[in-house]
Amino acid sequence: MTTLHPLGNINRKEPFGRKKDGTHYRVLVVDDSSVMRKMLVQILKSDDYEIAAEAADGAEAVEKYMSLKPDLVTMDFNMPNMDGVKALTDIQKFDSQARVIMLTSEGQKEKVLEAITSGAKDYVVKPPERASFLDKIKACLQP
Amino acid sequence: MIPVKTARISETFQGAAVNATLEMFRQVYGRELAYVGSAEKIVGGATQNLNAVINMIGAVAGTVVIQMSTVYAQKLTALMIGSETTPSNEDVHDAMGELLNMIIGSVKTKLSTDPSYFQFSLPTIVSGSGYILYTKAKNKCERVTLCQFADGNDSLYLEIYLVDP
Repeated sequence: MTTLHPLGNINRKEPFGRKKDGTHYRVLVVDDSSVMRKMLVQILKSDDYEIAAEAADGAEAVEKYMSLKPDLVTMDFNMPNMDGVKALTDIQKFDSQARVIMLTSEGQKEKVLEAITSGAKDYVVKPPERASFLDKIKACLQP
Repeated sequence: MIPVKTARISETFQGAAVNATLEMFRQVYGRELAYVGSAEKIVGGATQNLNAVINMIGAVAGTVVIQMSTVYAQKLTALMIGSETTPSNEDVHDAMGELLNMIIGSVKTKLSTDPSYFQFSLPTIVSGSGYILYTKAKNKCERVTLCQFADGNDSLYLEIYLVDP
């Protein structure tokens, strides 16, 4: 049995989660799975991002986006109460400059087009591979 | 006796499911699982087992169950969330469901580029062993295979039930 490092190489590159003024980029992590949220938080924190908040469904995500105005949102598709695309649409109505990255499972890529049309900046397939996930976050936060 | 059509679908599905499981373990946990092969029955007789169940409907219809001991599920969950302490039952159940969800999603992509090839349900978690799976399918639903994997001394099983087309 070989044990590799989970989630990819931790020392891939310099952390990007801090802005030039020294403050951190703030991310809202939205997923109905508590372990998926923990996994994403772990990856984001390892690159120096600040977790603005976590949300377990779309309605909670919209509410938290409006009160916290994070720099970026990672949004799951399938969630109870309000799904990811509806939450994305509501967030875009509130802030047309909102930066949202969708997370989808391999078998549900058909929903990605709808999300991109609704204003999502990009998407990531679960399980997120650390390096490419952080690359997409970084690209999304570029001015 | 497995019907011929189901047996054909089963071969393809089984291959995709085995590969998807091996890939997911690599990606999510950073672990190299060993595929032992098809097993006749679940060995070990552990009483504290966890099972995640997902139903499929479409060109492929049936049910897939992933089964492992609670201790092994706790170990994997801790790896997944980077925890050094024993994770909560809620997290362990959630992680089991997510794992099977990602495996089935990957199987779907391997089998077809058509997004509507088959749809699958949210996972259900069953705690304990000795359960009997009853699927109210129009046609007969057969357990076509039981795939066994090994991770050191730990075992993991993937049961595949397909509906006779």
